[in-house]
Amino acid sequence: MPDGTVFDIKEFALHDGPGLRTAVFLKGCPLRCEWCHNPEGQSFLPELVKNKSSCAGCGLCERGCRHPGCAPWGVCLKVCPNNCLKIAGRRMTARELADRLLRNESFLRKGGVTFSGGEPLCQADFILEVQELLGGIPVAVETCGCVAPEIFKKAASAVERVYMDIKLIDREEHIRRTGRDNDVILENASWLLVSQIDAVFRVPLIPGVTDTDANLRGIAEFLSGYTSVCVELIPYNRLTGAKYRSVGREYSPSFDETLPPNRNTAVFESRGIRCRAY
Amino acid sequence: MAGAIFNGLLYRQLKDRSYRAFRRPFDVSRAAVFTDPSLPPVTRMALRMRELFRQEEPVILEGQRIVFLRTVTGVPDIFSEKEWQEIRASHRIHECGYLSNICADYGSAIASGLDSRKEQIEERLMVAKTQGDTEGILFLEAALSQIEAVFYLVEKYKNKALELGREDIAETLSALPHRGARTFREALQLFRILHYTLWAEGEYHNTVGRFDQFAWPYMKRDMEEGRLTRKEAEDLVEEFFISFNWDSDLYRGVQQGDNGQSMMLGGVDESGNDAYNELSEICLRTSHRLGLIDPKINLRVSSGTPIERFVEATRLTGAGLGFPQYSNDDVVIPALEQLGYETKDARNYTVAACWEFIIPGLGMEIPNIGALSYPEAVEKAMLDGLEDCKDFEEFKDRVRAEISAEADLICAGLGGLYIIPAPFYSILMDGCIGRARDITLGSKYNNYGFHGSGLATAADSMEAIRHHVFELGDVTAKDMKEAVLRDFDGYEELLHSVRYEDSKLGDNDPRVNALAAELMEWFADALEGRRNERGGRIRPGTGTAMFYLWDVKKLAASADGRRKDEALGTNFSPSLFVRSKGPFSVIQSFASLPVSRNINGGPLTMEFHSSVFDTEEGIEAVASLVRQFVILGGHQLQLNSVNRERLIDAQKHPENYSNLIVRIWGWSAYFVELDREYQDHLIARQEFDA
Repeated sequence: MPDGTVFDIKEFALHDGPGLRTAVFLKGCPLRCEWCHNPEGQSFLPELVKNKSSCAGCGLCERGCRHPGCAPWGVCLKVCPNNCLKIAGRRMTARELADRLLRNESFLRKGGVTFSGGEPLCQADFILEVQELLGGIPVAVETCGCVAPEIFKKAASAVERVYMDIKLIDREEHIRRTGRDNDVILENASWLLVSQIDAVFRVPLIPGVTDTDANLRGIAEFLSGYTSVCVELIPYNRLTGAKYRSVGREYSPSFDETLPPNRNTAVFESRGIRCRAY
Repeated sequence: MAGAIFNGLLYRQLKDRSYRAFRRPFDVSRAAVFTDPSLPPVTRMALRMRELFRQEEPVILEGQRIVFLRTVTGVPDIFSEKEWQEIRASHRIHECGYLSNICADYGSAIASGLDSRKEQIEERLMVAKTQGDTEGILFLEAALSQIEAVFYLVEKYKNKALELGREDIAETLSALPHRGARTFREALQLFRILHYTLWAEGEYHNTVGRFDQFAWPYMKRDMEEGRLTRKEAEDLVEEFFISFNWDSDLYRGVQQGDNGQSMMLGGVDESGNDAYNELSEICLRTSHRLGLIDPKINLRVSSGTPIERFVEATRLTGAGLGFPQYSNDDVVIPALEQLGYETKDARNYTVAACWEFIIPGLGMEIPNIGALSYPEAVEKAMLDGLEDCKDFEEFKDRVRAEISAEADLICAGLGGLYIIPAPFYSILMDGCIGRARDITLGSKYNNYGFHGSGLATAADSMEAIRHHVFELGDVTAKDMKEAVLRDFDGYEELLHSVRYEDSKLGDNDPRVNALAAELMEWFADALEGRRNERGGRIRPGTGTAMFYLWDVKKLAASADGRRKDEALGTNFSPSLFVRSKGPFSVIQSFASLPVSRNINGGPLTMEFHSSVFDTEEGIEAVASLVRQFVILGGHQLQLNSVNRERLIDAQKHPENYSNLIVRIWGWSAYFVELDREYQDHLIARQEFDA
């Protein structure tokens, strides 16, 4: 049975699909988007997360300990009086995760489970295994689409709904801002568009980066002709920076975080595409 | 979405407090009239209200239709300090000594008016006189005097209205207190007079009851007969709601806002049919539109309640007032029947000031007469005997014995209850005139209720002891005791482990749920079959009231990692510092507990970040969450829309937040008017975001 690496489980997730849902965040992503608001989801390996705002500076965690689990981290994880130290990324078997989710089964029957991340489809087998064990509870995925087409097709065909990001239409710009080109993403998106799968395309509105009229128009062009498609524009999350500090990383976006997002739904609507801005 | 306020002029006067300029202190030189020690208390109560109404000056505000405003404040007590000492020496006095926290039968008084009550009293008085029933005579004479006092003040208002050229008000008042209401407006005005008079007589935590039931026939008839449009009805209800806020600052409880003006909406009729109606819906929307802390809205629901109604109610939750509070008929009605309530009475339940289930017109219940502290029982069991316990079962037996002993102790102090007579309240309660006895002496239902505070802290502490002392064996009984007594100083690893790593109530861990269930069963067992001196039962409950702060003053730290002086969770909720797995787990944990045997009341309380309510999807999701709570068999639920950043900012800049409303344990309040410790407790609660 495949294992997965889970870095968060959030009950009552509202932005990840209809009804009463739990979102499961799987660790590891091929992209390195400049604006990523889940930096602890990027690496495939477990990592130490430190909540600096609660740290009283008591130094207990640095006193040294003999817990085997603490050894790799250089601090003691089992002594903080304010619970500032956590490991993001826990290996779970499909059975373990399914059991955890099924404890809220009566709720999830009125909604479902959404796998997010990180890039959940990097652990597609795990997802499909968990879905199998969930006994018909609807499963959705939130993907950046940057996975091998055969994996993408297999997973997307199996789940109830796919939320897929299209961040940037320009290939070079995509490389510059996310670290990877968008060839496979657009290939997967094209396939998804002609499939009968319930899909929602999402565009993160990063000020001056993805929310330019040109980019939005480009994405709209790409999607045009598929009038059954549905687009959601998701504004940049201004609290992103705080999370980077907790994983000990610098956050210095090249764009101006304070600019209001360009919620240009018109470029989509004028092409007959349903579009909603949050 | 809530729409514009109809009564802008009145609302502005309420907010700028200009109407308070009419207030003046009671003329104490007249107090001798009712403090004469040779007079019986019931007579003093009547004389005091007569004097108060003599001093009251009628004030009719611009734009007002529903009149009656308190202008005289600081009414002296009927007893001197010395008299109080004597009374206390030989009696149990509940809170302030005056009647509180019950619910009148407004419906029949609004329908019949006070003339017919007066006739009944006069007839009964003749009987009492022939029987030589002195106590009955004194009561009935006082009751008559109260009715006359009401007539007198209504007359003053009528004359004032005429003087101001407000014929509409004069006309409404002319026949109203005598023959009862014929129109919706009259029903609202008569309610206002009756409710105002209860406060004036000296009772407090004067609840509103099932307003949408007793006022609906008037609205319905007016609309059917073409006298009233829906919009006019909404306009009137809005002014009626405003009227609860004119004088409420004079009626302070433990904190400002704790005034007991709770209104119940929805539920079933006497035959068990769904009785939610157009007026219920208008009330939910009016409360949302006004954004005032009174009246405090409650909604009765069941598994058959349509989802649209939960959605409507969730919109109100989103307004951030801490309403509505839900009660689940599927659980509450059978549980009340189990306690001996007649089915038709159980179906007519409402709530007392906060959440305690009571019966309008029939209950002389004291649902907050005592409070069991679960953590204290666990603490005693641990300090006195954990080291002697061979296994966890033995420890559980000790906790059970402590709960039983604590219940014994509270019960032993209940005898000799004395409540200051309430002759006007008695007129609004079923059977008092017939019995010729004051309501404070008893009614059809005379049950008492105990809160049960700190359930989560106790269950979590037992789990920590079970896990570490008896299962893992990584902590000795002696060390666990020492750690708690030393507030975990020198026990940092243990603290981290019990506080952050162990399962908690709210995580939906079957083992912890089972421990909490056992605690509740032991509490129920300890009170089972007991009778109070009035023949009533003693109902265990799930509320805390202010004990979430008060209890900790006598507690050490606890084995779940709660530090010394750290507050307990409010009501039926996870421990304050716990960050639970999420709303589903919290609801499942608490809905699994044996609430039917602990039916005094006390809701599961959960806080959601205000942004959850920003979208239709969010509102619908919260609505189905509530519905799921009901389906799973939870008894009472109260949700808050909060924003911690705003609360913190409001502590720094109170001047910018005069309208910021929050829910405390069973009532809503203006945040900036609260004492700091209540503010801090709110900020410390777990907030679920989107």
